[in-house]
Amino acid sequence: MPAVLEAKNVTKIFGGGFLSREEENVAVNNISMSLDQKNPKIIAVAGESGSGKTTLARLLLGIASPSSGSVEYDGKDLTEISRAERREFRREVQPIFQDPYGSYNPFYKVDHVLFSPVNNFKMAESRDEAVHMVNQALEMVGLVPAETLGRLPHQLSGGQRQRVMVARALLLKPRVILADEPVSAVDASLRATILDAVSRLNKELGIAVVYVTHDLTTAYQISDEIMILYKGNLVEAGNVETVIKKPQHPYTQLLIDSIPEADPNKKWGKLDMKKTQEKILTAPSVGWRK
Amino acid sequence: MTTTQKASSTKSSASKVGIEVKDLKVHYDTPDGVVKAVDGVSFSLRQGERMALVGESGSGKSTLAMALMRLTRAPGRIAGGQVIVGGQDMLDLDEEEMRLQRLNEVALVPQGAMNSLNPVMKIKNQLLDGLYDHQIRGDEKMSKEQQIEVVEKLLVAVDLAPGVAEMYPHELSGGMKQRVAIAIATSMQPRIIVADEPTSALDVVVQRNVMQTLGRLQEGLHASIILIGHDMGLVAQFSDHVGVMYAGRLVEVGPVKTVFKSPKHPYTRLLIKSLPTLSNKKDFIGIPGLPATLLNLPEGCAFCLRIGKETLTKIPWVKVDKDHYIQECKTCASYGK
Amino acid sequence: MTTVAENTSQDLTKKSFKRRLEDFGRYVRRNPSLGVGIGLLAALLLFVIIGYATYEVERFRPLSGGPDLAPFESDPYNPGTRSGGYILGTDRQGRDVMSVMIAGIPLTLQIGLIAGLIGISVGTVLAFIAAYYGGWVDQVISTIVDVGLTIPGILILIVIAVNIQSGLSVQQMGLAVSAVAWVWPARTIRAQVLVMREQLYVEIARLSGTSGFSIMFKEMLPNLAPYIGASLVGSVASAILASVGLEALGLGPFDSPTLGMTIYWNIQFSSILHGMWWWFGPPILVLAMIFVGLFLITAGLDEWSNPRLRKRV
Repeated sequence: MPAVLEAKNVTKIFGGGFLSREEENVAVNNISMSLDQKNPKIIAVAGESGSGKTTLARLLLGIASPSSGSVEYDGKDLTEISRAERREFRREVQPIFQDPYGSYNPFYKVDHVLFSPVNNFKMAESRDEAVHMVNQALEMVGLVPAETLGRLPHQLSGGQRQRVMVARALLLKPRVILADEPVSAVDASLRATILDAVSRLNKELGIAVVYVTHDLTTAYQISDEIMILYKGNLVEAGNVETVIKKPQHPYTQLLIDSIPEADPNKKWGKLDMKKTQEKILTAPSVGWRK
Repeated sequence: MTTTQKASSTKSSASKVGIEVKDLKVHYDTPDGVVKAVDGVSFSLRQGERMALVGESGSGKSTLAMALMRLTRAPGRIAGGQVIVGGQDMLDLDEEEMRLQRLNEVALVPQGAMNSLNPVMKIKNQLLDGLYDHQIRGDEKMSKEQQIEVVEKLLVAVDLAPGVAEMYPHELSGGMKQRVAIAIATSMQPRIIVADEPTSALDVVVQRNVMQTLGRLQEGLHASIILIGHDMGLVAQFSDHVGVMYAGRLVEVGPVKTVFKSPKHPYTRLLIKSLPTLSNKKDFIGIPGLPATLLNLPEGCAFCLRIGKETLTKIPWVKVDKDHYIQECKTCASYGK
Repeated sequence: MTTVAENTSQDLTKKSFKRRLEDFGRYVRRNPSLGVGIGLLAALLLFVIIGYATYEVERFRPLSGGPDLAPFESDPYNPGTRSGGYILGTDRQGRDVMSVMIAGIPLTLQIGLIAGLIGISVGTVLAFIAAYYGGWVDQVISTIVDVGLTIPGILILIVIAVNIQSGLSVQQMGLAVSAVAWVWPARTIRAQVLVMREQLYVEIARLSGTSGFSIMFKEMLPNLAPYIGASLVGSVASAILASVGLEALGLGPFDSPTLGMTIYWNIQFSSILHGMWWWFGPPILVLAMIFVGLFLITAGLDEWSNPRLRKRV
């Protein structure tokens, strides 16, 4: 059985090319990953700005197309699928974006963002069924429908707004959810509730999740596997427990060492910055670890 | 609270008080009523120590930072209180005197400092601007050589190459711009540095680097630093003391180690619990309910409202340990334990 | 459709009428030019309404009275009509200037509204099609607009007006002016749509399976409505200006007493040389009031209509 969504040696190059004065910028360099159908997991794609993680997410979403390599959906190359298949792909691979406010049309109440996918994809037979579906999805992400529906986006907190976006994705019964920094624009105290909702979608509904983030602590908390990206390259990947607890690549080590942990007794920054950065330049990719 | 705090700072008379804030109030007049963004905050900080003020967005922490610099803008206004630095109440000064105090006595590393630099001015001139403005070198202008020397010293102090002096902001990375902002803030050797989310837009590695630079400079100057932020991790790593803000009020103040080890206020407890860690999985939960709305907030416990309870009487300050105080509300004290 | 659930808890967000009025009042206080502009136009409308109710507006036709009568001069040819003569006198051809003003203001505004509305509608539709679909569609529309902007509008209007043989009606005049009125809105609104197309909620709508048509008219148009509304005011003003220009050249509706035609007759009969201030004064004053009023409204609406300035109401 083919994977739901698979990237095969994708590379994305911006700029450069004929007549271009800009230098070539390899945003994603020869990265492969696959989302299993039978055993849906949460895969974290972690890296700092410029690591190519957002570009990789856009490739997987089909918003951008790779310079070389391919993104396959159910074993079929995204650039070659039919119109009908593409519509199906649109429904089955749902994104959650970083900005929980910009995702809302300020003109409409939050209901709009929930009911329009249901109507567009004809998910419900009747109005009552649509309302029922929306209520169920909201409850699934820990929101009370009566306190959420009928409000304008700015009347909800950042955490609520983002959970409504999770509910929106959920309504379409997707097979994959691609969450691009879903909590970085939200107060730290509200992050847990959003990530908890995402995690439940995976555990209870069997939806595969790609969690794109710069934050290793949240990645560690919710994901099964992790991919560490550095300047477009995959430097280390594998089981999240192994990678975080016993990092091998110096970049992973530096990242983990730089995280400010909420414990005054565990001081950050034990590694020597300069030496580690030199090591990163020469260290080979560690590859996939069990 | 004022009295308890004061007592604590005079007790350890070995160290001088760097900044003392008494009953500071910042109000916003809106068509729907008065919003008390900062509602009677008092604390004091010894010279050379680091204090962090944490809270969710809307807790009033950034408003407080601006008020400490007396940069509150309409429709906001400082409605009362004192900000004492070096025996002088900053709120008593007139505009011109206050202007001279900024950078000289109190300096700000602004939020998103990367956008606070002038895009069409060389870094060199942005550094010198503040110095000229405060006439540190008397009336005569510095010679070319002196200028180069001063700028180089400032840049090297924040781990930037002297060549940065001739660059424009767009040629620098986010971390470098942040360093320039720190260089500007420390150029007059201020007594107090207010850093408002200085690294919120930076990657972790850069963040760590910048914070270490800031810390080193602050120690070198023996300045006090007030770090405003929402990242409890950064607070734990960086500061000596922490003040937790909720709904425009301080609810718990104390040394970082004791507060993190045994937080006494339920909100602090939840704030710490809501943080993910790398040590053990499934150990972080969200804070229930919505952050408080500041409009027409009752006198009593603001946190009670969040968890669906009500305490209308004024909450007393209670000392729980050395330098460690909380606003003790009997109703919600054991919440989330 | 979505309406079911959206209606259930509407009261949560529905502002009372009083509250809305207060909001508007606050806005006007902050932008007094809006209030002054509305006031000027309201004064003109009031003048028209009272005029129609109390004055013999029918006397806008030629030969309603004796020619060249100064205000309040009694009419030697029609002794019975009015003891005090005509409030604003008569023109060379015996039109009562007061009646001309009362009848002319709504006619001129009508031309402006017809041309402005058509111009904005056509411009908006073209702008959305161009900006949303992009590619060659955008290329074609943008090129036409760019070329259209370089040709003086009055030239096109003269060609159109000259080619309509049988004397124009007021409505035809409006249609003629609308032929050039869509170009500028098409360009400015296209720019706005281009910006809005990049908004995250448009992306979300696309990923929610919303059709291109719905995205344009249900997602983007409502958010651009304030901007389009403010553009409409500007369009009406330029349409009036264009129509007055045409009429002054003698290419307007000859049987209608519009403000522009009044100017034309003034020029034809050299009213200034004859010192007939009561004839050339009123249309100039009224046109100035219309233009200043519309301009002040546009300026006052700027904060409301400019998405970047509109933070709080």
